Amino acid sequence: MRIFRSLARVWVQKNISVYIGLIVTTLFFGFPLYWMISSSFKVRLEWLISPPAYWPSLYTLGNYITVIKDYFSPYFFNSLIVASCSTVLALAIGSLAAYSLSRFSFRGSEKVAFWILSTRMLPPVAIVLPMFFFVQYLRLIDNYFPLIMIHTLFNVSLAVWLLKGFFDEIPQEIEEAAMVDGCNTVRVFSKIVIPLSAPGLVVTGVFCFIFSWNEMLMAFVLTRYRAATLPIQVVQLARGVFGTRWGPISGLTTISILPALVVVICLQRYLARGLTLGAVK
Amino acid sequence: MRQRPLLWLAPVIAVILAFGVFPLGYSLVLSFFKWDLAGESAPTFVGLQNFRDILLTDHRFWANIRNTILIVIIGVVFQLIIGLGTALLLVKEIKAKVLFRTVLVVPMMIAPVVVGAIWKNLFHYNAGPVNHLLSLLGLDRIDWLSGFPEGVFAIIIADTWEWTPFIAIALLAGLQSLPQEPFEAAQIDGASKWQIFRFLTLPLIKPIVIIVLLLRVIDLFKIFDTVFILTGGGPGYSTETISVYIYKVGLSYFRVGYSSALSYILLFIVTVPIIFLHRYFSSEAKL
Repeated sequence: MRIFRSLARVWVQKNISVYIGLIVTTLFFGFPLYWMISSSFKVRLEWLISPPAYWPSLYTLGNYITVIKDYFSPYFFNSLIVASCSTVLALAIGSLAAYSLSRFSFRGSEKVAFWILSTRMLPPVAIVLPMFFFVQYLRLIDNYFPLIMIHTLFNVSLAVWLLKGFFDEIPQEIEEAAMVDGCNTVRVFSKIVIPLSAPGLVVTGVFCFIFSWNEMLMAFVLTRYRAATLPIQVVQLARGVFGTRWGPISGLTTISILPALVVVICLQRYLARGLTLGAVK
Repeated sequence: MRQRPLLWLAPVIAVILAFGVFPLGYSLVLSFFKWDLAGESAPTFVGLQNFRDILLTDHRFWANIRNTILIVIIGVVFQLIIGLGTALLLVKEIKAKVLFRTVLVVPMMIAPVVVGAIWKNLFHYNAGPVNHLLSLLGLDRIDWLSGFPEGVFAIIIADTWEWTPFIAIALLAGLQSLPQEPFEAAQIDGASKWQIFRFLTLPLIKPIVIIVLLLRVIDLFKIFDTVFILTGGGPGYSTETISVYIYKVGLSYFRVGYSSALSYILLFIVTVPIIFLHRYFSSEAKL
């Protein structure tokens, strides 16, 4: 009898401590999210009070209306355009490179692969100034094109690495069979490999999109009014002339995480691979 | 069938050359000049004088280095410990694991500027929940965003909140891919949990830990967005990091040569972990 009781105590203890640990962790990571969302419904009175209002007593949609009406339209669509274009470009350019790195064995392919990867680790500040001069010289400030290309630069390295991993997993027999039947490499690539790696392309595209969506420094420097993206709106609300506008900023931040949230929930499986550049599958 | 890898690689190489190598080269050239766009507009060649000034006489630079290194070291240590702990918790078979993982994953997907904005509110002296929690625990309120060292810790905490999930998820995937047999054998042999952890688990996940660690070190050296929003560099430059300094010198003060020199010093610093990462990846590839 005593054995059963002590066994039960151990089992309960072991699992409870895991549950407690997980609850604490979830609280730590979840509370700021809850705070952000609940703050977005707060009335100006309750933005900054002490003690803080964990549950708003007055609700308003005013913050969202301000954000959407005054600012939102251009910023949101600019972000959408820049992110979509750079994602598509990164996928296109990246898949070509990834295929050659995956299938063609040539001297120095590893070095090339790593050189491409190292681009992702480049601090944006290092190229911000030259790019600013360059873009200004070409009179392309506040234009989508330079920003899209810079985002593509950072995205393409991630795309190459992720896609190479995905391509490596596709067995070569199908391609070899097709080549025996007379397809050349290009057709094999476009008709066989691309469709087979569609999930990989989607996952890679998602990571690229999120990176571009969240990027601030380049957008801040290279755009002014017409091409400004969402993170710039955050900067303006946080560092405006009148100090931080807490209400609208909560509304904006809540809205801005929605795309990422949706995506994350759908793509949980591939997260580890995407984050470690394919090192962990 | 002749393979022509160069053709396939040409677009990538073109993009990297045009938007990466070319600006870097231009920046290198600029770093040898003294060129203040705000004052006299003629650039003068000064050789390595910029670098000498930075390394020998620039207090602000060294304060930045101090801040950045603190952020990197403390940040990585915090994040590894919490991340590993979380991964170990998630490895167990628990109901509602998916719920925990979903919440866990969200912070990483949020823009660093947004993270800065959220924590700027959380760290507010009077109205922020963090100080409220402290006061409930009977501790003094901390003026988080008021400078060194509180501001640096605020940055570390915000960054930890955003990126620890990355470490947790990567380590979790690594833990889940470990083979079961060694663990079963160890248990049969009577090893304690601590022994299993120290002599079996840790060595087996070492590869992933190293990759994750190097990636985080590189990213933390580059930290910009979060700092920009949280403290903007702090009162004066007390919580400033290297990237913020480079940005201000180049695009606020328009001391173009000096800023380029600074950015090359940052590049040198960041190259070190990149070289380690390269060695690691190539040794992995040989396996």
